[in-house]
Amino acid sequence: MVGVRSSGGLPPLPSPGVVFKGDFLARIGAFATQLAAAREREEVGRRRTLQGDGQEFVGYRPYRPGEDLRRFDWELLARLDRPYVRVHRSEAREDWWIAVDASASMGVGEPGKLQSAAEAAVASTAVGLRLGARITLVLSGSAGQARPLSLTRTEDLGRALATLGAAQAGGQGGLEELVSHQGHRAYARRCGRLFLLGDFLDVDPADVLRMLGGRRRMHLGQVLAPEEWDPAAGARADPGTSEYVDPESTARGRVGADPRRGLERYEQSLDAFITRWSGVAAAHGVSHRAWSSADAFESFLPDLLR
Amino acid sequence: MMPLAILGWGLTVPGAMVALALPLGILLLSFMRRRPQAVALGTARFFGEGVEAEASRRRWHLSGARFWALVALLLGILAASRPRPSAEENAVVLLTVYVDRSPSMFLPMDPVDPDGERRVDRALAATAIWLETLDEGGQRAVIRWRALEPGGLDLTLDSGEGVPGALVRPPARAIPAPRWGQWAAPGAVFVTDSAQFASALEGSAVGVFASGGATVPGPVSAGSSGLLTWGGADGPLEPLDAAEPLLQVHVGDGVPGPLRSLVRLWADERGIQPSGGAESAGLTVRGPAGAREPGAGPGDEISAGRDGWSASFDGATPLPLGTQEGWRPWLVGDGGECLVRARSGEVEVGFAAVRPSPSMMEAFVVSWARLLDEHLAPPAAVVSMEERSAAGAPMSREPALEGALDPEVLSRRAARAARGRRAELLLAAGAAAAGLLAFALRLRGSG
Repeated sequence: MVGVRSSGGLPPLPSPGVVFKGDFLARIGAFATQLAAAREREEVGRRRTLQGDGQEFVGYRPYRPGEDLRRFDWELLARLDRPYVRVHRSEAREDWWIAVDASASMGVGEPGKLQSAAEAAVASTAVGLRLGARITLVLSGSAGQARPLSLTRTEDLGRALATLGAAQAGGQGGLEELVSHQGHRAYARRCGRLFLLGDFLDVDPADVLRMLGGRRRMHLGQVLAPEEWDPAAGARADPGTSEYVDPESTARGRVGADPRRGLERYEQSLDAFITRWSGVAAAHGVSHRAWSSADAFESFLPDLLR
Repeated sequence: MMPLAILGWGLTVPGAMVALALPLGILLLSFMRRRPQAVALGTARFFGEGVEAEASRRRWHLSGARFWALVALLLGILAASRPRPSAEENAVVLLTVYVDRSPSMFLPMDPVDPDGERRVDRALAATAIWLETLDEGGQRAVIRWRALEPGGLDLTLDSGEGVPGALVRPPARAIPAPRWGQWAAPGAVFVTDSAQFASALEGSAVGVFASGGATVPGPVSAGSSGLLTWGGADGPLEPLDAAEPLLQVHVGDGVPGPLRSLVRLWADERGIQPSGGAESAGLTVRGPAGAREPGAGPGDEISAGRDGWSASFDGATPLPLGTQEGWRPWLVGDGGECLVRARSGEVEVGFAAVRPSPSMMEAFVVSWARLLDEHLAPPAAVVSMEERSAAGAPMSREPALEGALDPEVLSRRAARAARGRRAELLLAAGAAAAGLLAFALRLRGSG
């Protein structure tokens, strides 16, 4: 790490934990319904365009409000007086692997990056469950957090909330730890969709891309704190008198004697970093979205999940 | 005292330097505030290498306003400490030590040990001890020793040369106690036995070294048949017969015949024996050296008189009119010539013949008898009762040396003081200017 010295005396993390506010469940419900319906509409359109109606039918499942009515089975409704939708093989078999970075750097920001990633993970889980996907949720960080959580039903969303709500940012193990873990990689190869949520500061794009293969789709959600996007705009400290410390590597840096020039240099480095990830993602057909932890998940998650 | 002296300058009010804690505190606070606030940032790596070095330098950077405020405070504190050029090395202090030579000074400190330490020894020893301390501190003391007796010692020595030995020897004749007031001056040091006068000179800054001393009983008067001894404050006055005549008179050659007869009559009347020589006599009456014969030339006759008589004097050889060596004119001619002078134990006449007016003979005799009475010196063992009285407690009071400095030194010191005042004004003006500059920078926001 060039130009950054390491030493002890780390500043406290401003937002190491996750707190789901009272209206979060309502927001999740509305978001999942809206996005699942949109996904289904897209799915139907794609089937008509590419595969027609001849895709293999595998069964029924209960209708959930907001779902595409074109998949609604009216005959079953008439016969059983209960709403069901038809399920095809492409979505019925889909397994989602959602990995959340809970390393120390995710405790940065107000609200914290882990908070934002956790909200995005819960919302993605809700959408996946709504779409009938089987979801495996993994967190980096401490040993307890590293245990995968398997979610198959909408009712399992509470477990996801509990697991993510108890998550604490800490340690040096981030996405790199998750993508290099043999067990996680073996399981992820069986999944149709991979979601990686974190700041991507500790992982190399090549390690992430090794998880691609087949028709597997990958979604890279990159969250940075407001002060990481713009140290000068952060309300917590004056860039001219602040020493910035990487909570994982303990690397330190400052804007220097000329704050304007220092901040310009920082922004250039940050832009290059983000551009690198977005470029890699675009080159490999990977969905990538970078956002601020201050952003609501409703604003960026639709693009990420697309 | 200027305990803080740097580069030839000292601080008159060194206590003002305590206020340095204020700018020092501001400086420390400034650095403490400059200490960077550590902020957690996952993207800290994106700050460059050169920036780190600059930031390290910036930690010791002082803002303009704060810098000038510090300058103002420092200059102000220096001005408040009143800097003055340090006193020059080897400044010369001129002291005059006046030593009491009255009989009491030669009485013993311990009445029961007549041969022991005397008051003069004790007082001079205390003076010497103090004088030894004078050469410390970069100055040099020059001492003028003066014995307070007619024609007494007047010797100037460095302080390290000790006390002149002549001062511990008693004078040849009794010397009255000095009137200290006439000697009070800057740099004066009085060496005596009784410090009772010192309170009257409290504000004069003279030094006083007094031995003190107890009452010393002993002879207080001498008569034709013996001594009169005093037993102390509660003791009696008792006559003490002497084995040999205590009082003798010697009439020298050249004393006119009538006057010689008068002295003999006076001595007979008082039981005073004639003496073969001046050495053993309590009173010597001598005529003029190389006396001229009466009527040797025109204009020799001089008229003079006192105490109600007048007379004509022939063969006059006028005596010195001054008061050197204890002499005092007793009879002065109409033309201002000193015809008779006297001091304790001695009467000297400056004429070869005298012709008193017959109508004034009685007054003439009484007047001369009184002259002889007054100047008859008692034996050495006789000291007046007043002298033998207790001298009180000892005292050691150092004089103020500031006023005893060599006038040249004082002049240079005044010049240094003026330089110091100018420096003080400059510092105060600099402090005000720096303060205004700091205030202006602060208002402008660059601080």
